[in-house]
Amino acid sequence: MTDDLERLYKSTYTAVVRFLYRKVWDADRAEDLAQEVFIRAMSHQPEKPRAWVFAVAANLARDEARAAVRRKKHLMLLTNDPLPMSTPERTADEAVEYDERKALVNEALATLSERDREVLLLWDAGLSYPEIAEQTGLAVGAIGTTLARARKRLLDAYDGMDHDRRRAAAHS
Amino acid sequence: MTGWITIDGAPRHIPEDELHAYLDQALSRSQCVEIECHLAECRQCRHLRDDVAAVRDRITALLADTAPRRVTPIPSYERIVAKHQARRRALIGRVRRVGLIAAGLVGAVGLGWWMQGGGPAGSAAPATVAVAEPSAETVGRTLVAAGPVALVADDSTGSVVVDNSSAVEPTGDRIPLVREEARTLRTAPIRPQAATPVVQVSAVVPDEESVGFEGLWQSVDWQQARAETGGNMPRISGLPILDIQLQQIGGEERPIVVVVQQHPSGRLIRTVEGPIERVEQLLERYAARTPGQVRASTPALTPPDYVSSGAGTPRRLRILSVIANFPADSLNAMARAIDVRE
Repeated sequence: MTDDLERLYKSTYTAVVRFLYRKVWDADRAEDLAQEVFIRAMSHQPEKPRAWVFAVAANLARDEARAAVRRKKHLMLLTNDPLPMSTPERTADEAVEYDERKALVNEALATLSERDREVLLLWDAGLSYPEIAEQTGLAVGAIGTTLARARKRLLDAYDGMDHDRRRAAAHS
Repeated sequence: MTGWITIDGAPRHIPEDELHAYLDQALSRSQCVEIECHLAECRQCRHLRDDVAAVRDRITALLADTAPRRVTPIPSYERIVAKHQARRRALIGRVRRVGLIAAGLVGAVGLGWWMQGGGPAGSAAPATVAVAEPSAETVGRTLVAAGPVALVADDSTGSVVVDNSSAVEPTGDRIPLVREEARTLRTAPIRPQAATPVVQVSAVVPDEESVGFEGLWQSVDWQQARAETGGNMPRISGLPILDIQLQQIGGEERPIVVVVQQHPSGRLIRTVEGPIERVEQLLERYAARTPGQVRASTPALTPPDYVSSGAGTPRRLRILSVIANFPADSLNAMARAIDVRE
């Protein structure tokens, strides 16, 4: 079981971080939460560890979102000079471009329904249709329909926002 | 399952969601064969397949493009195991402490009952009660004994012995209750000798700044500190570490950590890392004790704790601050250079 978990950790850690990052939009927090997920997996020794890991990750991300609202006020005190723990090395232009794209994707994802977003992010993290179905409670046959809808809506939302942004930039 | 080839004999095209599933390799082999046969003959469905593939590829690229770029290596599995074990050890220690406190309380209640005549007649022999392993909770309390007592505090073992051998002799069946002024054991820093000193320093190290760190602190060696903090050890790389002090918080939270390092000028630099409320309290106390002498850097966020509870896993924010007799800009620069993770 321990070997299974170790294999799962090595093969899935990055996907879990990526999945969490889409929800918390903070690389450090995503890493912290991912480690917390695997520490818990060691205690629980789940029967289906892969699905379990993503289910717990989703729950942690949900708790994180609730906590973020509560601590907003607190963080005001700490925005003075936070430590950049693992800020990627980018040039200024790249950083601006990246931030804009990230914000657009974030906004576009926010336009999806929670179920569509969850299915899309689980697919992006590498889960199979049966695994996504197990986690979301949908029928396996409904995953393709949900994914088709989610992909289309995300692209429509992203393209619309990107168009607006470019038009605003051209006018300014 | 698919059923899109014919309905009542009329040809029908492949539904879009099935093309998504097909491209996601989520269909059975027979379904794939069925789709591929239809695609070979149907230009319209081939166009739709290309469109779906383009959407799918764009989504993949869009999400991948905004994925976090990894600049630190994936933490080793051994590190996760070490964190898990540290958490288990902390849990076991907590259970043990609670058990000892409960046993001590039961013993004290039993002794009081026995001293007031609850025990067998004439069996009021002098008794000694040892309360083992004082914790921050027990050390700071007032002990009131039913009779004259001698309090012996033994720092080396951390035990407190209540000796009533000089109690008033019993007259009759009932032992007279003699009230004496309550005695208080004050909380004081206990610093047992670390098993292996982190760095041997021959020079005399001024330690006047430590007056702000009240409470029960424990000096530990590097290995123990790593185990207790799950590997999150704040320190300024390149400077020798003189001491590492921990103050346990309880629960699943990591302890408050103070890493004492020495600047080449001889001045001490203390890096404090812990839960936001505790560190803020500590900084306030510290500033009040050493006005104008020693400064602290702007607090910065460090990896938080996630504490299990019935309602989920609340996130407990942690911060760090560097305290030393340096200008504020230098302290902030030091804080930025601190490496918390291994």
